[in-house]
Amino acid sequence: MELIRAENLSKWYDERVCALKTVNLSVEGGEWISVMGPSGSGKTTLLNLVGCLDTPTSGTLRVCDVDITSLDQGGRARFRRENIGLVFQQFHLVPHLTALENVMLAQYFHSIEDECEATKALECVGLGDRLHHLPGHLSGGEQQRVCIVRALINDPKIVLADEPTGNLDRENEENVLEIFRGLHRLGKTVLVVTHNPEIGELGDRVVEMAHGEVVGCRGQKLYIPREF
Amino acid sequence: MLAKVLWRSLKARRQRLATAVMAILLGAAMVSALLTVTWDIRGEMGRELRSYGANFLLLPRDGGTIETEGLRIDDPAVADYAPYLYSIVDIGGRDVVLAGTWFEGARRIDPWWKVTGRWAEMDGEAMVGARAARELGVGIGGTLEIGGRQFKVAGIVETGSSEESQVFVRLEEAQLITGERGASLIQARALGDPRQAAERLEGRLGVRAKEVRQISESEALLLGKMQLLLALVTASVVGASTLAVAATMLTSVLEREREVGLMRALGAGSRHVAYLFLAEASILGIVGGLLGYLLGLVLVWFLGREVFGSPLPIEPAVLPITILASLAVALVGSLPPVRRALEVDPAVTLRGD
Repeated sequence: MELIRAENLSKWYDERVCALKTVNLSVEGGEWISVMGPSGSGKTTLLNLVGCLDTPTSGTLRVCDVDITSLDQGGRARFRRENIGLVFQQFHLVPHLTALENVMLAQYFHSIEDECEATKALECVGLGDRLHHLPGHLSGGEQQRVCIVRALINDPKIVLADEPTGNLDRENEENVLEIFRGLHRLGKTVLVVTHNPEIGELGDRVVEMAHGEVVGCRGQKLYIPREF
Repeated sequence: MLAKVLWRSLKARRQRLATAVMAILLGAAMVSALLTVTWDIRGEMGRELRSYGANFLLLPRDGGTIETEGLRIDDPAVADYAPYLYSIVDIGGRDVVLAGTWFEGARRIDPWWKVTGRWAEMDGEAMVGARAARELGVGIGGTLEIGGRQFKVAGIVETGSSEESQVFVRLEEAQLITGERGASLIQARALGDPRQAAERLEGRLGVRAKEVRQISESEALLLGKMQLLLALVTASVVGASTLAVAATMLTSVLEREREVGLMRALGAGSRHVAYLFLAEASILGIVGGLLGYLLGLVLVWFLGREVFGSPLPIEPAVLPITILASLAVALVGSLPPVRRALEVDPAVTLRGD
């Protein structure tokens, strides 16, 4: 089942800077897509558009069978909390909330908080003894695992990860990648932006970008709109 | 969860937020103090101005006297009254103005009289004006013979006015001495505007009312100016507090843009973000209001002692009004920062790594 479909997707900033140029892409449910390319190639912009954090300047984008270009700010927030899980390179945990509270914050915005469920999820990634620690008292790898649990706690259809291992050492990188492999095995759709070719190769497909355009795709073929 | 986020957020930024609480506290203290003073100012000023004497007179309509048999003025606007019967009598070979009155009423209506000795209280006691005492050669404890009756001097009166040439005895004794049955006039003191009370009494007692304009008009004018001044000062203080809260909260929002962006990224709607900041502002408003009210009580105590010479009564309604005003200041001051928070673009704030 097709979960993401982008047609001629473009994003301009201030009508001068083109971050994304007529990108076409189709992602099936359960696929792991690695998005690779140099800095400024439009990887994060593509991720932000799919994650409803930003709106395209032109083109259409359907995610989970919803035309997200037609959603207003409130609609995008609603769509995000129901369908998208975000993992950041910088973790972005709220510094004055504990690991458990950071996870429960996502539950609060989604529906109802369930402390038991949040605790179990953190225990699953080996953070059972770090539940009540503030982010400042956690290592980078532990913070990233909290960030991943927060992204997954509402059971999103799509997980978007922007350089998820960019700030981690080798050991923690392997721990985080193991979580992603597990997600993939469970059939989650995963889009990972990365510079690291080794991580890129873990995906079912590797989408290569440069100057805001998709310049190559290894694995399954690119989606080509019918009119082309 | 909202409570946890609020508590942690307040705790983490307590120093910054203390500035906002301080701004609200100072505003609330002024509002509380000024409200208490304004609340009681009419009564307090009334009490102050009452010491300047009657603010209207009741005079006989036909030039005779006013009947005092069973005289009782029950009008709610009339605070004090005292009938006076004036006549010229011979005391020790001198013509002196004899004033018969009800000493209890006269004492309340003219508390500013400087009395050496004490006020006369019973039959056979008199008070003598300072000039009359000198001319008659009597002092406290001395005796005067008026119309064949003996009077003991209880006190010497100084007013700086015509009363100093008069001799005061009880109204009933003056009536016996002069053979008159009533009073020459009634001095009265009304609370607020005396005109309405005077009009009512004209009809009821069949008398002619005459306003002592200087006092009543200046009282109304003074009260109006005082209240306007207090309202302007309060508005200025509240305005300044609102601006201070707005500045502090705006800084707080700017510092937390990434946190807000993250919340947005996690799916927080405008409602969630607005609730968070408005709830925070409400807590600051209530805490600042309560502390400000307490500080206001100290100010009220000081004002009462230094300005009015007596403690001002504490009006219970001032507490909820002060807290509501502080809440309003905190919420209104938070509106521009909240608007700013709602405009946070998660893609932009989470990008800058």
